[in-house]
Amino acid sequence: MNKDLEKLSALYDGELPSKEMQDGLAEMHADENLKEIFQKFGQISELVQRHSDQKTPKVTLLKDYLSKVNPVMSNLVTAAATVMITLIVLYQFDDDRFQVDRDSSLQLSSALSSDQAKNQLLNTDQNIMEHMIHIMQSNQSHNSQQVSKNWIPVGFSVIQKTQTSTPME
Amino acid sequence: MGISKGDEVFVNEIKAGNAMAFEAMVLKYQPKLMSSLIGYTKSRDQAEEICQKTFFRVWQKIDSFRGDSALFTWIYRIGINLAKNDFASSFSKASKVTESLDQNEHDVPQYLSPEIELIAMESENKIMEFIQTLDIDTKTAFTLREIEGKTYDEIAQILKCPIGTVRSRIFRARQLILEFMNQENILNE
Repeated sequence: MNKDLEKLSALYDGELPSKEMQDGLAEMHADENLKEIFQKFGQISELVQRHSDQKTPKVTLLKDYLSKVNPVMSNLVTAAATVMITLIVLYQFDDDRFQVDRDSSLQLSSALSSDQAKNQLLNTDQNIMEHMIHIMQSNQSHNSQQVSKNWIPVGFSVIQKTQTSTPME
Repeated sequence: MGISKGDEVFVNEIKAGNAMAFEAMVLKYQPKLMSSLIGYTKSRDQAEEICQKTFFRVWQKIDSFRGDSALFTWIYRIGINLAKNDFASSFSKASKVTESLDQNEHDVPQYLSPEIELIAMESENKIMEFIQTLDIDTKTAFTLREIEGKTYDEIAQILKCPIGTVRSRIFRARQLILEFMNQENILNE
């Protein structure tokens, strides 16, 4: 019985020699049970092909096949993939490649997250107003070097310099 | 993609007037065509009617099939064109209907409910999960045949085994899937 069904399966795939195919078609024509099984082969094909259209896990297939055929080869492929991914990650996050000064970068991050920066942000309106008033009241209103004391670079310690001369002057 | 070697055998037989080969082709592609037509029409009754018309047209026009495309692609095109014509004619009929609605009661198509579609999807998922549990040799041979469309000869070369072994493995996969379907009462109408 299994041999007949195996022949039916090969008939379904069009893989029988001509003579056997004629015999198989005649047998199936005369047997409703064989017709039903043949049709179910069609249902299985339809289902599998529909699912494979949605997702084709060829990598999984390859992995399964490799691990079966040659476990050493499979492990080598896995190891090579791991090394490659590691190299890619390291290369991607290598700051030196972009000529970034790490100290400056840290200083900038620290400045942006400092309490001073937060306070400056919260008091922006007030500072702008103070600065405007200062400009209006000042006789030397165009001197851009004389700014409000609140307008300082945040995150850096303020060095109080008295009577300093600037290159502009 | 052109016609597969497996289908070419059937087509040559049908062109030579072999009705049993035609019967086999109908049995082989009916589920696939029905699935496409149900998706298109959303009605099993309408899909069945168009499916019958399609295979009738295939029998009439098989000589014009040159094998440039896969056999199912050609059948599918005929089916979808018939479905479009059917849809257009039913639309024009519907616009003319002003009376005797009771007479058309039996024509109301049996639409697929979301529940039925959900059950079908669950059954399909079960089968796909079962296929994943097959042993690697059986699963690989079956997948290469059904998904990649490889011939037995090509599969034998890939897996480095005799054609007879490929034939047995593919059959074994189908047999196990059928047993599983019977056990789970899937697709038993």
